[in-house]
Amino acid sequence: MKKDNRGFLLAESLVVSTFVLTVLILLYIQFSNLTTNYKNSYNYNNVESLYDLSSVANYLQANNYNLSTQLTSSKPYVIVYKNGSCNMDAGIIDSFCDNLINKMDAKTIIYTYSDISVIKKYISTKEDNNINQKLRDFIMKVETNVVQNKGRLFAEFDNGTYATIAMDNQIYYVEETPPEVNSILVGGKEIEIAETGDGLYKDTSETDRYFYKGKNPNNYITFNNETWRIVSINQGGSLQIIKNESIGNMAWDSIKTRSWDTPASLNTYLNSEYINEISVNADKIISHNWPAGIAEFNNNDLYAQINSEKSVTFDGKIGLITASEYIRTNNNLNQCGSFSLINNNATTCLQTNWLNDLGNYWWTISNANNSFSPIYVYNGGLAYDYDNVGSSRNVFPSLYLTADITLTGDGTKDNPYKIG
Amino acid sequence: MNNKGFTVIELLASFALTMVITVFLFEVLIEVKDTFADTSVKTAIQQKSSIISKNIKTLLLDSGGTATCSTSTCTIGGKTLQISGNTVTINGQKFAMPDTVSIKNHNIETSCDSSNTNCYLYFQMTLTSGNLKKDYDYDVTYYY
Repeated sequence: MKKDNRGFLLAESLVVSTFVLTVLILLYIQFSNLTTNYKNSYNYNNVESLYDLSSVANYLQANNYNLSTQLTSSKPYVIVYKNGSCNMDAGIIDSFCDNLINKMDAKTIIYTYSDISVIKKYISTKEDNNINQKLRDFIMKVETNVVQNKGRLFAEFDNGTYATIAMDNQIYYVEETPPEVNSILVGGKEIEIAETGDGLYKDTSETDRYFYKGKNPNNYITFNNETWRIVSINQGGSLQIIKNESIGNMAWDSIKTRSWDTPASLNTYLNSEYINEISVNADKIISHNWPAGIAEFNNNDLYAQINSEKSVTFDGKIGLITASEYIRTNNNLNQCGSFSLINNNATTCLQTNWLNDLGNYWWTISNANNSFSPIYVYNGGLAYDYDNVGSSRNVFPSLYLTADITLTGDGTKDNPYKIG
Repeated sequence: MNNKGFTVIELLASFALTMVITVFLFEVLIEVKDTFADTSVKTAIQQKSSIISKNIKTLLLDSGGTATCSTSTCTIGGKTLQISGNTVTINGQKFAMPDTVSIKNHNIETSCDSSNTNCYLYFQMTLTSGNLKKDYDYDVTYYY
C-alpha cells in the first residue's frame, strides 16, 4: 500500500487557527469586561471615598463657602481641590482645607450642579484639562436624580477611587435652573449655539456637527488672504469653509461621462491645479471623504438624502458642498428643510440661507437622480436646480481646516476670524 | 479501506494547540478565582468598615468637638475609640475584622486649625489577608 504522507492543507490549518483564535478572543473580551466591571464596582463610591468626600462637604458647608454663585454656563463646575491645594480662586483660603484634603490623598475635587446632566454635557462637548479622562468616565457613569437646591461634589483619589455625593445644605441653593451648555470651542474661540436667528446651530441630522445658518451669520474667515465662510464645525473640531467668491465658470465634468469620484474634470482641477494657488496656511487643510452620492431631486427626506450622498465618497482636499449641506445652512427648517419643501417655499427659503447670497448658478458636489446632472444653487424661481455636467456654472471651492488652529477676530464681515 | 492514522506531525500540532488553549483557560480560571476571593474579602472589609465609620462619625457628632488621640487610642467626648489586635472598639462596642483578615498596622490622629473651629480625625488601618492580592489600606478622614 502506498503511504500517504499528506499533512494538513493550508486551508485546513487556516480554518482551525481562525476558529481557535476566535474562541480565545471571545474569552479574552468576556474576561476583560468582567475585570473592568469588578474594578469599577470597587473603585467607584466605596465606603472610604464616600466618607472622605462627606468630610469635604461638611467642611465647605460649615465654613459657608458658597460655590454655587461661581457656576456659569460656560464653566458649570468649580475646582475645590487640585494638585495638592484647595482652590484659592474659589475663595477657599483656609490652610486647614489643604491639610484636610491632603490627608485623604485626593487628586481632584470639583463642585457642580446637582443636575449632573449639565456637567455631563459640558465634558462631552469640551476639552478641559482640569477634568481628566478617568474622572470624565466616572462622571458619565453616574446616574442620580436631581436633588433640588443642592450641589454635588465629584472626587478622584490618588489610589484610583472615585466618589460623588450630593451636598446637604441650603447655602448651596441654585437660584436658577442650571443653564444648558450653549457654546462650543472652535480654534480657542467660544462660539454660542443659536436657537433663533442667524448663527451656529447644532445639526439635527448628524451628531457632533454644527452649521452656520441664516441670512448673514458671523461666519467670515480669512484664509489664504481671501474671504471665506465657515459652513460647519465637525466632529473633532475641524472647520468646513467655502470661498466667498467664485473662482470662475466651469463645467462640472467636461467629458460628460464621469462622476465626481471617477474623477470629474472639476474635481481634477480643484485638487491638482487650484490647490496650488493656496499659499497661506495650506498646511492647515486636511483631507476629507467628500460625500459624492446621489441627492434625489425634490425628495422630502433629508436624512435619507444625507445617507445617499454618503454612499459614494472621494478622498481629497478640495471639493464642493453637498446638496444636503446647502439645505442645512437654512435656518427655516420647517419650510426649507428638504428639497420638496424648498420647491414649495422657494421665495421664503431664499431669504433664510446665506449660501444663496454667495452668487448665482453655482455647482454643488451632488448629482440629482443620475450621475450626469449635478445640482446647482441659484436665486431664480427656485433656490436650486440641476443641469447637465457639461454646463458652465460658478465654482465656490470648499475645504476642511484642521481643528488644531487658533482663531482671532469675531467672524463678522468687518472683523473676520483669522488663523493665528 | 483507508487505514491511515494521524501522522506524528498532525498529532504534535494538535497536542500543541490543545496545550495552548488549556494553559490559556487555566490562566483565565485562576485569575477569576483570585479575583473572586479578593472581591469577597474586600466586600467583607467594606461592610465592616462601613459600620465602623458610621459609629466613629456618630461619636464625633456627639463629642462636642473634643478629641485627643494617640496611635491606637482616641478619647472623643469622654468615649473611647481603640484599635487593638484585630479589633476596633468604639465606646465599648467591639468590631472584629472578618475571618482571615488581620490588622497589620494602624494609626489614629487628630488635627485642628489654630482656632479649633475645624478639626479632622484620621483613621487608618493596613489590612492583610491570604486571599487579598495586596494589602488593603483603609483610611478615612473625618471632619468635625
